[in-house]
Amino acid sequence: MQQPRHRTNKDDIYRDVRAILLEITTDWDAGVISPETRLGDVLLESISVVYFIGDLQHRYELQDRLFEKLRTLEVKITDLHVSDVVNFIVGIVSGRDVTLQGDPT
Amino acid sequence: MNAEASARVLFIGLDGATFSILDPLMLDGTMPFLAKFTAKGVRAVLHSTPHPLTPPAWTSMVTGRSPGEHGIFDFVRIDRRRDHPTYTLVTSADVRCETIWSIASRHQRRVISLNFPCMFPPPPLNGFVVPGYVPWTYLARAVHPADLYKRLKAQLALNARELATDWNLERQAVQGLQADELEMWVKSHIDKEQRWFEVGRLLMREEPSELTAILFDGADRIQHLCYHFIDPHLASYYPSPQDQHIRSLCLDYFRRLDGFLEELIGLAGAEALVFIASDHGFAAAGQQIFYANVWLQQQGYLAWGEGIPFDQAGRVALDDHAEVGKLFDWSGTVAYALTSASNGIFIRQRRADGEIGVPVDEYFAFRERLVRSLLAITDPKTDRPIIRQVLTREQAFPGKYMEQAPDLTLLLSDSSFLSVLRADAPLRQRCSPCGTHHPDGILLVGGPGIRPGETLAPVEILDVAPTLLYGLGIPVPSEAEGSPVVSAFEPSFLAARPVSQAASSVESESRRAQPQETSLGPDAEEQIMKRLRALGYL
Repeated sequence: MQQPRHRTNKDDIYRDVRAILLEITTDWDAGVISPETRLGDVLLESISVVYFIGDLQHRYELQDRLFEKLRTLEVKITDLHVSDVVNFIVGIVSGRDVTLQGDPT
Repeated sequence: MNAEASARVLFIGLDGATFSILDPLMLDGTMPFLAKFTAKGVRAVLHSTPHPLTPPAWTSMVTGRSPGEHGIFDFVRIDRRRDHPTYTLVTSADVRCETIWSIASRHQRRVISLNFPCMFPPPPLNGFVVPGYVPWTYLARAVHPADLYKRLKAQLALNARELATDWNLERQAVQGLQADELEMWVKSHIDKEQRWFEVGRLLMREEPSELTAILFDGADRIQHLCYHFIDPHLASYYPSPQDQHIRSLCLDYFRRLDGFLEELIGLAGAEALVFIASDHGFAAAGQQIFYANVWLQQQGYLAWGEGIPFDQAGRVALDDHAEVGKLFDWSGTVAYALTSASNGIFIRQRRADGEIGVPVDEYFAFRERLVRSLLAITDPKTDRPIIRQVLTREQAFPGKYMEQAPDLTLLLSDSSFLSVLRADAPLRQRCSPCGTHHPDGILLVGGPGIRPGETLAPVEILDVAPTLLYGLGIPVPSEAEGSPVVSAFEPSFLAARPVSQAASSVESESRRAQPQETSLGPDAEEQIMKRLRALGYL
């Protein structure tokens, strides 16, 4: 597991998150991973999505803020899209609020 | 063995191993190597944590600290800051003390840690980590160093599903398995142990390290469902050919495990100190299940949520699609049991006007009344107490993180786990026999300087980490709560290598300064609950 890189640029974070998903899915064909990809379709087991979110919190040193953000949403964790996760990270790192399917405001 | 830097330690964990099973297997020839190893070294009963449960017990084993100090009390950390509790899966970030691997790394020793809980995300140790309890679908990202997974795949043709936890299978198991499914269950754990053995063997051959630790957890999983087939005192009550077939498979598990031990210990070499330990022992659970929340409701301390069904199946845990927090009407609940694993009861305190709970200034009196009432519960059939002991958190988990522990921990008379479910009575008949955790685990030590053939007085689980560090020639941190088990060693060995103590460990201080609130969201909690239900602990 690599150390956090403290990236704050959205494109960098997307590339980072996508690279993690590709690493996780090395044993099966997860299809094309894009911003629109649903996490539940990539990670197979829902518990793995929990690990993924925890992994990202650790990587970006977000403490609990990514899960705290998800707690406020009326959406299943497996229904999140890659872009949602990226936007949430960008929002937390930059101190801005983010909604589902939205950019940091 | 005289140069400190060359000291090598092999630490083999056997989750749930107990002398009541191992001794007969050593005598009847099922585990011949373990019999020889035991005869040449020392053995002792190893007292587990006050409530013998895997995450706190193994964490105490590898830190030398009690749960109140290392912060792990259950499979989950429970956050009670809000109006009702939420759960968080415990991770390596929740362990507030240095582990043996971290301390050894800091002393320039190379380490291997395989299959231990609370090791994800893997700490950046000087060596190799494959954590336990990681779903197979996440294993590729869970190892340290990052390229280890590809290496294991390439060299062992490793299939993650064969090594890591398959939660779908675990979920099926907790719902109860038929006889033919028990066969699959035992076989799956035989296969899994084989894979962990192969990983350990590869790393020991190619990356010899000063501290190698590998945990085999199949004994715990198998004994939970099959203890009555394995314990020779009980097996005769299950004489059918199918029963005997399952028993035969279980014995095959232990026979193969014996072979793994022999090869790993052989690889470690004659100069290595070898420790074999279990986090807790095992025993047959009694015939009754205690439904703690039903009893609390009868006392007027708990209200069930609307439409919560009655358990008819003698279960301790919810099924796959429910969440324990939704069982209760929180507007009428002041005391509740949240997880079967913890055997804990939580008490809500009213800290502000309008909050539900016991007024803060009445907390201790309320808790004392609750303790007395719990201890007075008896089985109407036998008139015997259901609960052997009720520990307050000050008694069970003193330390800096005590506030995170349950207010009360119940030690049931048969060592079993309580049920969090709703039923028509606080006591119901268990549907099928099962095994449960017992506080007496095992410790076996062999190697140079170890007194041959000695049986020691019982050892505390907190003594294991200091003993491992002593074996590595590393000073024992001053905050260690246990001590090296010097009675295991020959006087001449001790004279040549006196125990030394170090100043406070480094990492623990920095960890204490870190924010530790890492609660998961509600959907995440649901996934965690599924995982824990799969183990049968919720």
